[in-house]
Amino acid sequence: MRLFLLNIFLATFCLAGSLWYNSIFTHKLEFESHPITITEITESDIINIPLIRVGKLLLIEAKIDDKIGNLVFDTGSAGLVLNSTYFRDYVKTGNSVSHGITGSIGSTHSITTDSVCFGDLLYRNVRADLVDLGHIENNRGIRVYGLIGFSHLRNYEVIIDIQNSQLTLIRVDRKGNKLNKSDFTFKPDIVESIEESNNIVFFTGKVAGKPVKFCLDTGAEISSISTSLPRSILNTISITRRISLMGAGAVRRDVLFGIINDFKLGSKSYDGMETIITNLSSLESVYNKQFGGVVGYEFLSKGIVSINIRKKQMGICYYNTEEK
Amino acid sequence: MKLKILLLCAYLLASVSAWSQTNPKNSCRIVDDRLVFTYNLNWTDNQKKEFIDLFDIDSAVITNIKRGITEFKANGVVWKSKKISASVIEFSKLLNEGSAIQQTVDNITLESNVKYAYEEGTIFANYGVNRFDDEGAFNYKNGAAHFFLPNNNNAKRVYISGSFNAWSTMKTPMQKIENGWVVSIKLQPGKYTYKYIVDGRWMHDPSNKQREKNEHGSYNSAVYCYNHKFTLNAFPNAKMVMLAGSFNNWNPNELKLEKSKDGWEIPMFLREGTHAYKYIVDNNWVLDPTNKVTRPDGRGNVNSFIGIGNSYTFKLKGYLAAERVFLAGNFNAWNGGELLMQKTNDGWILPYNLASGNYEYKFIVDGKWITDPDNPTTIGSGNYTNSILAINPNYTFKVKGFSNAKFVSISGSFNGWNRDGFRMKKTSNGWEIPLYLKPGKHTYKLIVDGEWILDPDNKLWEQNEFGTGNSVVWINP
Repeated sequence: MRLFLLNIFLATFCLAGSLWYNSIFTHKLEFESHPITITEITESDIINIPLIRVGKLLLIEAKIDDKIGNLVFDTGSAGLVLNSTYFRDYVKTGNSVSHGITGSIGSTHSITTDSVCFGDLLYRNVRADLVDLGHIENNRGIRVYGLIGFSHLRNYEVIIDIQNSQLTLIRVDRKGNKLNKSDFTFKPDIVESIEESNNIVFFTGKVAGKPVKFCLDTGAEISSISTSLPRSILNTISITRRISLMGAGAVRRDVLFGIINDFKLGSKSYDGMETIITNLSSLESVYNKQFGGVVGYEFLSKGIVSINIRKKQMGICYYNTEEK
Repeated sequence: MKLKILLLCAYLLASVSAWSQTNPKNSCRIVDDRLVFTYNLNWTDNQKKEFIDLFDIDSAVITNIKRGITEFKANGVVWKSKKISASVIEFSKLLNEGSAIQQTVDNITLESNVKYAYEEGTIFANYGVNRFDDEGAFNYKNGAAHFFLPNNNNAKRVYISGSFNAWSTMKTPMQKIENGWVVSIKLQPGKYTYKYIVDGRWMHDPSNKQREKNEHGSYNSAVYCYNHKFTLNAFPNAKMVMLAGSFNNWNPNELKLEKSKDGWEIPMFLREGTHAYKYIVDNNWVLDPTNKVTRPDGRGNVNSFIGIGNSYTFKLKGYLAAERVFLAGNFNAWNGGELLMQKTNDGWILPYNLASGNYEYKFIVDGKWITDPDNPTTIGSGNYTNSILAINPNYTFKVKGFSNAKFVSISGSFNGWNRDGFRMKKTSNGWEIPLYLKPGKHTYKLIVDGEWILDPDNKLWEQNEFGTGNSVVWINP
């Protein structure tokens, strides 16, 4: 899903920097338009959010104004994106620049919701971009209200445990230190530094012994690697499948599937990671960052991954038995 | 030493080359900005087809390389080719020629994973019996399922999430009681899968021994809401009574009846429809003595029969001069000689058990197939028109206006986007059709005198591949 959804460059979406510890968490929340009442939502430094897994997608159930539905947890998305099927009636509050897949520039409408609530978190006056996500619904048979990434989680160390379908948020201070150190223990096997750009997280791994910068995208069902990487790296990728598609101007274009045979993060080897080999230049311009690949579901299936954007650190605690 | 290394390298290269020459799967690689394919003329036809399928090679490319053309253009792409040996040809193109279309990549990736859609509502099962350690952990009475999760007294919030609420993690909170958490949910009889969420963490029901592995390798608890109790008020002195039937593939060792006040019984879930069964009393197969409905199975046996669910009575008025009238539909594979209708004072009737769904049917009056004259909802046209019947309809499509239209039909994902659609019934202020729709998303359009339009009374719609949009409706489990 990632590749084209994430092309939406939320250039004007800059909520991230304005999220703060909000006392509203201590208040009782009543969902008036739905026959449920959530009470006892308390100030908490550790928030557990159950993930709903559909295939290789990770979903978070959220309440957006009066609607309860699923958001895809998609860290390749710079901000909140909502499905136009359900939110098209909202007053358009602005436009965002949308970079098309071929480099063309379009316009995406923005709306503002009164509230977005998931787990113990509540956000007010949240800006979101409208995109038609009907194809995800039709392919998955699930209702998808939108996409959410790290933009709303910057005040937390985010721990993604897909084997237990669990997202854990641990509140951190401005320097990334945990506010409550006693309640939760996460002992990573490796710790790597990360870079962050516009709520998108990047880290450096090694392919064929050479450093390659990867984007961590929880919405990516398959990894991808750039055709512009050096020859010495691409020559080590096994090609397993090719699909030739008719593009504009009657020129055929390739989609290549393959295996990254020699991927390492720190001292840990990731054998036989499936990938597509593609031109990532338009995504690079979207993210305004040069990088060589994107990892997602398969990377996350190796272990519990923690991301601390403030500290610019990623930790991984590898599973004993890898999920197939 | 250098010579040895050179020889070793040559050997390894030869091995790789040989491997690719015998295995189409390994015949594509990237070499210095070029995508290189190795094609072996001695491959079997199956291997050649596998190669072409795996790497989507155009036949024009194969033709050119076989002719020995060293550089050619096909579909706007420049190819280079060279002969490696008498039977092996290597051909290549620039890796970046025609950059990949990312949106299409995305769709391909998704398409290959369609099978992962999760189950909502009742889960298909012919029958089922619960297996709880603690009998108080679950019961089903008067259409309500009562779940009890013991302990977890320090938890702040507990939810139940399952196929019955589309695996919602927010919609069904449990209430705290003295020694645990409870919730009651209105459910139709059937099978459901579920988990508890205790302070944001998933857990399966510790009291429920019936667990099913899900697609991710973890377990969901499974529960049946019963709709039938088999009772055998006889053989009070028997040592053991078992039940077997068409629903469990006549397995005699699975469903054990418990002793009751007047004999034996087993409550269970049994799917809507018609089922054959027998009891096995101390190893002797016996008919149900209280059930008069028996039918031969064609192999010298007679079985008891039971119908579960709503019995719908098909009616055909008139045709009293006819000798025989049969009913046929997609529910009996259009067998026109099976379901003989009974003659009454004013026509023909046949009660029949059908599960919830939309069915096509016709009557056969002395060999002539006719649609139901009293049912305006149909599908198809001309001789290929069938009547449509919705059993337990859960959604009625209604559209206002179009009073001058000759016909209004509806077509969508629920009927395979049928070209003619289901023809709707005219009402005083518009058109309508009641249908049974499975839980989940459905997309559709109206067809007004042949013109396909969005439902003007439904503001939910999404874009389609033609840029004309499809209306959207969601059915909750």
